[in-house]
Amino acid sequence: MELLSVENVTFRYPNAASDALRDVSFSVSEGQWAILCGLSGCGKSTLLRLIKRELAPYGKFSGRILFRQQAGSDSFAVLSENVSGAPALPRVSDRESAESIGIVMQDPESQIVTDTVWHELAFGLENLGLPSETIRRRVAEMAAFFGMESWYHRKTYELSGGQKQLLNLASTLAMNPRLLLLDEPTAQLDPIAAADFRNVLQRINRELGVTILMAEHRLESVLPLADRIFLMDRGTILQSGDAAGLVKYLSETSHAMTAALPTATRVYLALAGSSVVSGETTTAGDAAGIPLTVRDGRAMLRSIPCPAGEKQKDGEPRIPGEETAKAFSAKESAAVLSSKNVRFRYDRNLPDVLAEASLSLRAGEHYCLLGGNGSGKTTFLAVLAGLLKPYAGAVHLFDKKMSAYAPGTLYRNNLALLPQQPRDVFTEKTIREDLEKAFLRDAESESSNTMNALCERLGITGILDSHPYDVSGGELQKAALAKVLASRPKVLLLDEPTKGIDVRGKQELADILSELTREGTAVLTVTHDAEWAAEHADRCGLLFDGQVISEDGPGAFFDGNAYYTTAANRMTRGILPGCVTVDDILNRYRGEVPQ
Amino acid sequence: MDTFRRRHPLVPLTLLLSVLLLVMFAQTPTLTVSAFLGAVLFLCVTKTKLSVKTVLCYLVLWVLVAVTNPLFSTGGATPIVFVNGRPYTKEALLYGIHLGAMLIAVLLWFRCDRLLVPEENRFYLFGGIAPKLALLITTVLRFVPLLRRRAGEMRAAQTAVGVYDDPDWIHRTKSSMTTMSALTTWSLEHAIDAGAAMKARGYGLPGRTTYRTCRFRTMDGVCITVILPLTAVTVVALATGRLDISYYPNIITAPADTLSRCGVTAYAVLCLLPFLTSVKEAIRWSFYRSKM
Repeated sequence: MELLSVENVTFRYPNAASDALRDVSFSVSEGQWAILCGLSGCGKSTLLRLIKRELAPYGKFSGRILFRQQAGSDSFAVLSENVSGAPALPRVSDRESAESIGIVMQDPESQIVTDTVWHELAFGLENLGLPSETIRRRVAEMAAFFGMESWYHRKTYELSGGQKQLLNLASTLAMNPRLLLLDEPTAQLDPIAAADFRNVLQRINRELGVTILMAEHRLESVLPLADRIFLMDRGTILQSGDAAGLVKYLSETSHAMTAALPTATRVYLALAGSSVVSGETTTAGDAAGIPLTVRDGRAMLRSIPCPAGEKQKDGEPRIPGEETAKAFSAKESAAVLSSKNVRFRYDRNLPDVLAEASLSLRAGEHYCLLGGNGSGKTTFLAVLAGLLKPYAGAVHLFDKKMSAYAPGTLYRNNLALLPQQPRDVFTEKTIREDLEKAFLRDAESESSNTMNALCERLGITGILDSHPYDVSGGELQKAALAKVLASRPKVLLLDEPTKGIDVRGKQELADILSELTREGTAVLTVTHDAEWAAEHADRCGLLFDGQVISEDGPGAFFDGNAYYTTAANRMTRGILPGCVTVDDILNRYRGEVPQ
Repeated sequence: MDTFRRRHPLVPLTLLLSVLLLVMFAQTPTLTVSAFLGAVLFLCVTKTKLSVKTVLCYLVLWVLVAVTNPLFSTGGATPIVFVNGRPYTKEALLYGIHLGAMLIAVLLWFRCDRLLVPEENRFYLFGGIAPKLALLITTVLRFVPLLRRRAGEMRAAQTAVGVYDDPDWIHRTKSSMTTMSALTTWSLEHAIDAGAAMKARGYGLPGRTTYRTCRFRTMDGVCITVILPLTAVTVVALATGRLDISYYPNIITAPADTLSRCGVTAYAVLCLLPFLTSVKEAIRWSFYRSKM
């Protein structure tokens, strides 16, 4: 039975040249988990905000959005409408809309209203005017369901990002919504917190029967969970149906979102065109034989013949990573940035965040530093950038101690850091003003010329006159990169640059970085994104317990790890040894796969 | 240990108001000594560690108030020395010592307050009286640490793109102001987001209630019926002038009688309540432990 029905919705923001949504129609049934997927800027957030009436943006709206008033009832009520000649339906009351439709958005921080966890849980219930006794019961239930008892009395600002987002979800669920809208809820979380969050969502959907409509552009882990998927592109719905339908559509049209599909699916699609995989040999997978998970992918690989030449080398697995590491050491140059036995703590009485952390970055390499949540990656980056002073050990930039740099020299033509929140580097009203200021400071360069060249290279000329808060995450990331590159650094430090960015943005970023390293810039990226690091890094390291351990080329690094590794590696472990990316797998079948 | 922490916030509030208002209005050394001792004993029994810096601060404040009072007030009859032709009198010095002690006693009671009322109940009573104000306070308490962190992050980000790293201090000051304005922009943006999040969860619907976490139990009533009569006795003793003291020109105290003694005793009991309940709890706890 349909819970939500969106009929011919068209929407245009004020002063916009084109419609943000064009004739969008779809419906979500009760108890379903539906996903709206598409690249950034395809209109999925706008659509969710229109459904959550309280957050509806201003603009020209037409069409109507219907919501079933009570569970099991036959009648629809209107959430919003602007349509002529439709049969009159009752309007969903404000209370009903607030209570029955919950929303959790991307930024965990901006949705928290109060200072304590318990008050945050109670906030919505207070707004509904419930008596204290009822609130106490609901809050207790939620805290127990989410396992929040141990942090129930904590201050909201002390929580980790994952806990904050769980709190946002719990305080929305405390109001007993029937429809839960999620706008890329795990985009700002690290992989482990994101997996926890997805598990909770699964419980809510399976155990409580709450209907979920989720906007997401990373399909690796949510695709197997979804009942129904809507593919959005430039304000319209291109395709709706189950996972198999989506995969089929994407592969037929070679849409940009194909790259966002799960690893197993991408391997399947690449092999499906060849003789290796025929319709019958693919056995596992719940979506009509299309593998969506690592488990399905393994079953698929086991059911097809090994690539030629693989058998002879049995017992002596080939490790492509070894080659890359060697290839790299061949062009090994002197370290440009190095830290030796660095120790750091935030307060005399707190434990060490960094204990004997040593790392050396060479010119022209892209080094990815991985590590769990709270392992001190961002702290290490700040120490390497000279923003925090270690209490023992030393950081050297071009064989010169950090502290030996005179003011005004360290961050000119030497070193630059792109922070986790790219908007932090912007202070002016438009991106152009900010960039002009940055380039002007660098007096010796013919500023406007270089600036235009750089903007063109990064593909941001179109957004230069926008406010930094008004552009998408990927665009802002590139603009911030432009500002950081204004000082023409020889060492570039990046903090979680792929966070919240869609597949296209990630690829663009990787292309820019590889161009920079080719020109000799040393790039150090701190990231959670194993897949991205495996594809684009020259070397990888793991920060654990305050130290950098297991440094190696990406192939050897990820192949040596059993859990902290890529999906491609988990999928091929024991079947095709030494694969860490989709390309690695496909290379094994080279000759059998049409390239 | 936490008898008062477990009580309804009205109980510690009544006690605190009684102790502080009485000691400040009375200006009587006996009451000041009671308040002082009550606070110190309670802090000792709860094993609260005051840092050396804090203790030094208190001492310096005390000496400063005591020593400087005679410089401003020349009312006493017994001069010790003459400073710039003005008498520095014994009475004024004694008054200064008392004033300083009272100040320290009040400060110590504010320290006790942190132990008597859990932080999350600090603004609890507002919720009943002024729910809008209470909500405002909780959102501000949420926002301030966030703002502080963002300010640090923005400054670090600006530093690393070379904005502060300029030998010219005028340029650095200008940069600080730009960062400040960016922080303001972020605050406004955050306010819009927070407003949206509030609206999404039904803020603005008619008939909002306030979630009352604490329940007023019989024991809370008992506590208050102990505190209020004790306060009343002291108030009567004060109002009838039995505890009066005048410092200038000579120190004259009201003659002691039954009522004044009752007043002083009642106030002393009031001040010792946190200490006594803590001791009682400690004894009871060790008794329970012996049965474990």
